[in-house]
Amino acid sequence: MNLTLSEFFAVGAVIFAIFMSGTIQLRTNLLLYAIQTLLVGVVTAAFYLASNESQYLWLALVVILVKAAGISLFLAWVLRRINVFRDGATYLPIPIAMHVCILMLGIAHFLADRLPAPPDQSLHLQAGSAESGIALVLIGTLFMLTRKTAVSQIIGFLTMENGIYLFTLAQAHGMPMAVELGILLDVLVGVMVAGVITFRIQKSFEHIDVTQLRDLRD
Amino acid sequence: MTMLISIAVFALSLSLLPFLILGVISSLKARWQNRRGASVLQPFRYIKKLYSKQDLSSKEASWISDLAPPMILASALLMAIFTPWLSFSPLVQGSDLFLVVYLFGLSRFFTILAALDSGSPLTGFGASREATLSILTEPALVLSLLSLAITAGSTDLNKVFAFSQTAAGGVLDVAIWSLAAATIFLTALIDLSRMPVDDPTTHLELTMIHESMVIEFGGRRMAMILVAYALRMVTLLGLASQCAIHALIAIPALQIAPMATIHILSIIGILAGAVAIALVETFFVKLKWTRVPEFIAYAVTLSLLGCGAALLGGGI
Repeated sequence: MNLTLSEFFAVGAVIFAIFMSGTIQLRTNLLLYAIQTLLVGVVTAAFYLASNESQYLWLALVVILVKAAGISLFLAWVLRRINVFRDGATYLPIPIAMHVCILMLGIAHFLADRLPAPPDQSLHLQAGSAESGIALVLIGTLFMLTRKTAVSQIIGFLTMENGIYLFTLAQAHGMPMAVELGILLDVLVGVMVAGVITFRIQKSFEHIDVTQLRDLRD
Repeated sequence: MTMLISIAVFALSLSLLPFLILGVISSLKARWQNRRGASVLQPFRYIKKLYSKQDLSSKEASWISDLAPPMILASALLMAIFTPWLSFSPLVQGSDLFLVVYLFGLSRFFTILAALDSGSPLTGFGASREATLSILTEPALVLSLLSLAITAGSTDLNKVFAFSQTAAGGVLDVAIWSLAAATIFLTALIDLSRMPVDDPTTHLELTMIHESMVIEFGGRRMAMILVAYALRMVTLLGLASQCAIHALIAIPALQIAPMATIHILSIIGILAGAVAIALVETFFVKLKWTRVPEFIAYAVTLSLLGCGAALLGGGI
């Protein structure tokens, strides 16, 4: 098996996602998320080089500017504002979580083998890998399930979104530009709203542990 | 004739580099912490001083305390000879992956034994921690070397580090070699008790690992342990830099063909490893003991990924 350059970057994004689940420092989580998204943007740019359609270049730029830089900086600002820098306890011990993530990469590898072939084989090799997309979705889910703070939930959600994006890029060569930009806007607004809600949670409960939000208060 | 020259150069670097590396790390650290620091040659002087000092041992100590330091030194020296940590290392017959790993374990075993033998509670404390660490780190080292062995199709380290396999395919090769380089560097940090795991400059504190094990030794035996430590450091850093160089030459665009460049790069790589250690020790603090397994998990994860990549590469 040979690895193309864009597959290399796509798998690199998964590796940084695995690293992300290996620390409870929220700012390190954010930094690793930013690197992961940057690599997703690089995959899009590599796809532009292969297909020579300029919309992918713009998409790569928007992904890097909005998701890698913008959202990470916004969440870092939220963290500074509410003065929470680490995830308390996690449901799964950190080393085990990392190894489960590797297992998920393996599962994604076997799942990706069973997928129907994408329309254009020659472009497919340049479009990153469906395997990385599935793995990112699984890792994001695990991240959301095992972490307790609200900001971790947002980061896990964003990782899942990266995975879906990479998967569509690999299997269907991305969605139409308008749909893609609409999703980006949705994600941006969603993160903004979630950030504001995090403020409110911190203000009324004095913690952002989502597991303790089940009980109603007067 | 060229064989003789290469052996001579290897012997020269084996006798100079380990101490030079220790000196470089401590003087760089001092410089970055706004101290003047000792000269790069300080480790030579220190070891000379230790050799001329009187050797005392505790009343509880048995013959194991006398046996352990030579054994630690011997296994470290054998490891340095068997491992191709420089591109111009002479090809020693039988430099097998598992031999190297077990030599590594042997020197650690005797360190722990010596620590337990001296009968001081502090050394026992350090020994227990070292044993825990070694259990956690050994998979990382073994798996990362195994992933290289899978691509080379042999556990003979001379064949693994032979600068001949570009057949496995560019990008995947780069990935495997760079994962191995990162793993071995992290393993070196853990194994040599450097900063994120253990603070080599603390003495007489309950937090330390390696320094507390050898605290009962002085004089000639301490010198032996220090030389062994320097040898292990240079071997591990050398292995990591060899992996990094292999990753570099696997990049198709970079044609670093001549061996002379590679020979120079392999020494520069070791020095770069020393600079990286000094950087880590300047900017990071020691982790809490309960957080150390999380740090080690990174090394194990990297090595597992490397193994997966090697298996995907169809090396078997």
